Amino acid sequence: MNVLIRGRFAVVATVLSGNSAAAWGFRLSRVQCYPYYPITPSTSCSEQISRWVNDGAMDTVTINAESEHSAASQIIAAGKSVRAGTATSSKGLLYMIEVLENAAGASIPCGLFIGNRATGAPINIWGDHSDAYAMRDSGVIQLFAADAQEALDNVIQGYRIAEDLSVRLPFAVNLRGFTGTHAYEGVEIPEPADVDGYLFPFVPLYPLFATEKPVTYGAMLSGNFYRRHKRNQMAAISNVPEIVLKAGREFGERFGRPYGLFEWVGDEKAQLVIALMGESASAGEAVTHHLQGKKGIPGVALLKLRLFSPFPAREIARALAKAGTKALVVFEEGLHHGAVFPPLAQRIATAIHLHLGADAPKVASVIGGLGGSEVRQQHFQLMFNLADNLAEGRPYRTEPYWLDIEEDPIFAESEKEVAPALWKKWGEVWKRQARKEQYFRPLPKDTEEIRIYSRAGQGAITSAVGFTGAGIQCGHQLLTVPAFGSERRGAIITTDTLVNERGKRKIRSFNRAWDVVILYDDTILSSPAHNVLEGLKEGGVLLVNTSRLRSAKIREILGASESRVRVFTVPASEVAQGLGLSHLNMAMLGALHRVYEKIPFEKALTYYEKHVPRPREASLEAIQQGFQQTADRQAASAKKERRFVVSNDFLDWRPQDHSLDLWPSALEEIQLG
Amino acid sequence: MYNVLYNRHIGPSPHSFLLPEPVVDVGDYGAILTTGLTSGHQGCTGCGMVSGTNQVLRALKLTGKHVVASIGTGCNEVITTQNTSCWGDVSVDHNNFPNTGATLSGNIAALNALARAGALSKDAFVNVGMAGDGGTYDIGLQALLTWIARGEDGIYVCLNNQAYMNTGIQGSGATPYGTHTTTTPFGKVIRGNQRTPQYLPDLALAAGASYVATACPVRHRDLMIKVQKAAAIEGPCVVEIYSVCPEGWKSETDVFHEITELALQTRSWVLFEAERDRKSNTVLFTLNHVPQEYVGVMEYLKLQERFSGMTEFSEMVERAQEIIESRWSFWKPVLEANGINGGDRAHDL
Repeated sequence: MNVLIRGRFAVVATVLSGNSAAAWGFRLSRVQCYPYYPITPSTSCSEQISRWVNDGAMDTVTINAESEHSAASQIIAAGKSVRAGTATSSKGLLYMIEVLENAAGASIPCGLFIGNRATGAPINIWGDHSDAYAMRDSGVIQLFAADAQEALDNVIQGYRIAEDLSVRLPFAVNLRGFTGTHAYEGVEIPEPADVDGYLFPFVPLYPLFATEKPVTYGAMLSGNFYRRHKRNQMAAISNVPEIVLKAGREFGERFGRPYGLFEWVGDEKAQLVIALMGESASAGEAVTHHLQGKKGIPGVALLKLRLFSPFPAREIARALAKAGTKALVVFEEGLHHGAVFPPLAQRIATAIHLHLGADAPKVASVIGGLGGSEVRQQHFQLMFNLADNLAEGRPYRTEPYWLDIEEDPIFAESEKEVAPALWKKWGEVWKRQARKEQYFRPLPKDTEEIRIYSRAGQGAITSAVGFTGAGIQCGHQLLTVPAFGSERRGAIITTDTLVNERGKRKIRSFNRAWDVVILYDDTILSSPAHNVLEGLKEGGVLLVNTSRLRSAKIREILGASESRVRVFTVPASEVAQGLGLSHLNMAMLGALHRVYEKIPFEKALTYYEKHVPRPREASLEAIQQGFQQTADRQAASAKKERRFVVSNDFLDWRPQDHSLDLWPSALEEIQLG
Repeated sequence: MYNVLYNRHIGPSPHSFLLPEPVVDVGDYGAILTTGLTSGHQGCTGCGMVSGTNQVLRALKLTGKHVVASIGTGCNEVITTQNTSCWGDVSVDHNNFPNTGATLSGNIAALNALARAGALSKDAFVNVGMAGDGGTYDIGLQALLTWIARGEDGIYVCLNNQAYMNTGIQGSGATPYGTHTTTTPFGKVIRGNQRTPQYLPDLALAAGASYVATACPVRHRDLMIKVQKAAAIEGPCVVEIYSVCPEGWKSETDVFHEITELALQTRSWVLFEAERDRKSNTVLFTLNHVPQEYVGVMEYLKLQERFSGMTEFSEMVERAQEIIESRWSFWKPVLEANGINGGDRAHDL
C-alpha cells in the first residue's frame, strides 16, 4: 500500500467512502455509546460501526433505536457519562432537533455526523444543506467537511472541541450526501495511539453515575435563572472559534493536516471571492486554480467555510479586508424561506457590514445544488464573472440568484431568454451585465475519467472502488463517485472514477470528459435514456461486456467512426459463469486494465490479491481472464463461438415511448452470429 | 403471544418466581424508614403522584443501590426541579416529553459502557424511568415500547393521573370513558371522553416486559414491594401507579384515601402483577386485591367532578360499569379458585 510520510508518522492511505471515514472518526475517538437509526445517505456510517462492534473490533455500546428522536435522546442521555455519537440526515436530523436543544442547553458534548440531504417536500434523497440549516439555531457546533478525509478528521477534532472545558457543547460534522458520503477516495487513517494522544478519554464534569454529589439535569428554570443560563450557553459557544483554531493547529502538528475556521483557496489578494461550505467547493477549487493569474482576471479565491456555527464573523471580515476583496458571491445549497438572503449569505453579509462598514465588499447570493443538483465547474465560472460585475459597480440583485433555472439565468444576452415577470423586475440588472470571456475559457483536462454504465446489482461500485485502491497504491489520486438514486435492482446506473495522475493537488471535480466508458451489459446500448457516447472524448475507449456483438457492430449501432471511439469487447459474463462467480465485475476490472494502462496491471494485481471480494481465488482468476480476453476489433473477428443466444424478439422489443423516435435506427439491425 | 398462568394466591407478596429470594418487605411502616423527595416540591395539596414518587424512591433506596432517574417532562418533573432539585441523593436526568424510554435506554447504555471499561460496578446502580400517562400512553409510547422490546435492565414507572395535568387537564390515552377534560369537555352533543383508555400493562407485556405491576400510593407496602421486585428482576420492568389529581379530577384535596379506596372497591383500578418466564413463554398473573363487597362504579364517579356530567346519564354509567366488568372478567379463574364468585356480574364478590 501507498505509504505517505507525514511528519513523524507513516500513514497508509485507504480507500474509504465519506461515511466510512466518519465511522473511522468515531472509532478512533473511542466513542463508547453509539445509538443509530438508518436514513439515507448517512446510513453506511452506522452500518460500518455496527459491523465493527459485532465483530469485536470496536468497543462500543450500540443501541438499535426506533427513531432518530430516540437516537438523539440516547446520545444526550449517555453523553452525560460517556463519549457518545450518532449519524443522521435530512428528516432524521429534523426529527432530532427537538431534543438536540437539550444537548446544547445541558452542556452535553456528544457528536453527530450528518450526511447532508434535502428535506422536502417534495421528497428528495440527494445532497444539499437544508437539514444543516434547519438545525442552526439549536446551539450545536456545526463543522463542514469537504471530503472523506475532512469528515474523519473533523469527527476527532469535533470531540476535542466539544469536550473542551470552556465549550462543553454538542457538535455536528456535515458532509454533502452522496457526492461526499458515497464518494470513495484515499483517506489517511491516523494511528489509534496518536489519536489517543490528541483526544484524551472522556471526562464527565457532572457524572450521573456517581454516588457522591448527585446531580439533576434538565431542571426547570424561571426567567431570571433561565436568561442567565442561556447567556452562559451563548458565552460557551462564543469560545468555540478559539478552540477550533487551537484544536486544528494541534491536529496539524500531530497528523500533518492543519485546520482553521475556514480555508482560503486562491490568491492572497483576491478581489473576487466565492464563499461556500462543504463538498461543492471541489468544483470551485478547480476553477479558481484555472483562473488564478490569468490575463484580465483580478485576484480570485474561494472562502471555504469550515465552522458555520458559531459563525466566525470577525475572522471572516478580517480575512476579506486583508485581501482587499471587492465582491463576494455567496454560494449555498439551502434556503431561508421568507428571508432576504439564505443563511450563509445572511451571516456573511451581517458580519462584513458590522465589522467593515462602508469598506465591506458587495455581497450577492447564489442558490444552487439543491436536492443533489450537480454543482459544476461552469457554475463557478459564472459566479466569478458575476463577482467581477459586482466589483465593477454594475447593478446586481438584492435577492438570491438561482443556478440552472432556464427562465431566470444569471446572465442573459437577450430579453427573450428571461421570464417576462422577472425581466420587469430585474431587466435593468440583466441589461447592464457584462459577460467576460476570460472567465469562460474551457478548463484544462488535468484528470482522466472513467464512467461505468452498469445495472444495479452487477457490482460496478465494488470494482470501481477496487480500481481506486489499486490506483492509490500506484501513487495516483483517485476518486470514485457512484450515482445513487432510488433505482431498483437491474436499473442502469453510472459509476464515475477520476484519476489524477501523480497529482500534487487533490482534484475532486469531474470534467465529465470520459477517457473510458464501460458497459457492463450490452443491452445498455439499446437504452433510450442513455447515450453512452455522451461526454466520451474523441478517440476515447468504449469497453463492452458482450459475447454476441463485435466491436464493428457496436460502432455501427452507435453510428460512430473508428476515430470517434475505439471499441473493445470482453465476454465478462462468460468468464464469470465459467468460474462460478455470481458477479461479472471482477472480469470487467481486469478488462479495464487492458484498455487503461496508466495503472499497471501487474502492480494493481498486488493490491487485488489482498482486497478482492470472496471467493478470492476465483475473483483473481476472473480479473486475469478479463484482462486476457479483452479484445479489440481484430481479436473479436477471430472469435466465432457464440454461447448466448438471444432471440431477435427480445432485442427488438421497445417500450411504447416517444423518446424512441430519437433513437438510432441502426439498433434495429442487431443480428445474431 | 404468551401462556397465561394465574397465581392462586391473592394479595401482595415479596416473593416472585423470577427471584431466588423474596425482596425486603418493610412492613406497613417501611415507607418512613428513608426519604424520598426532599422538601420544597411544588405539588398540589392532595397530589397522589408526589406520594407515589416518594414511595418509589424509598423502595429503591432500600435496595442499597444508587438511583439514577430518567424522568420525562410533566408535573412530576416540573414540581420537583423548578429552580432547585427535590431529588436529594438521586441522580436525575430530565430530557424531554416524548423520550423517557430512550433516555432510560441511553443511560443504561452509558452504565454498560462504564461497567465494561471497569469504571464502576453495574450492580451499584438502578436505572428508573418516570413519566406521566401522557408521556407514556401517547407521545412517549414508541420510545417506551422499544425500550421494553430491547430487553434492557431497568424500571419504568408510569404515574397515571389519567390526563395531561401539567398542561391543564387535557384528555390523554389513559383518560377514562366519559371524563370531562378541557379537550374532551362534557358537551351537549358529545358527552366527555368517548374513548376507552388503553392499558399500559397490556402494551408492556405485549412488548416483552419481564415484570409488570399496577400499584397505588395508598397501598404503600404493596407498591414498595413491587418496585423492589422490579429492581431485582432482570430485564425491563414496568410499574404503573394510580395517582390522584385533585386539580384535574376536581375532587376535594382531603379525599385522597377515599378516592383511591373507592377505585379499588369499584375495581376501577385493579392491583395486580405479571411476571414473565421467558423460557416457557409464560406470564404469571397475581391479583393483589379483591374488594370485600360489590360497589357500583357510581360511588367512585360521584366523588369527582370530572365525572359529574356522566353521572346524570345512566347509560354512560352502565357503559363505565361494563368496561370495568369486562376487564375484571380476566380474573375469573383466580376468583373461582378462591371460592369467590366473580361470575357474570360481580354482585356477590
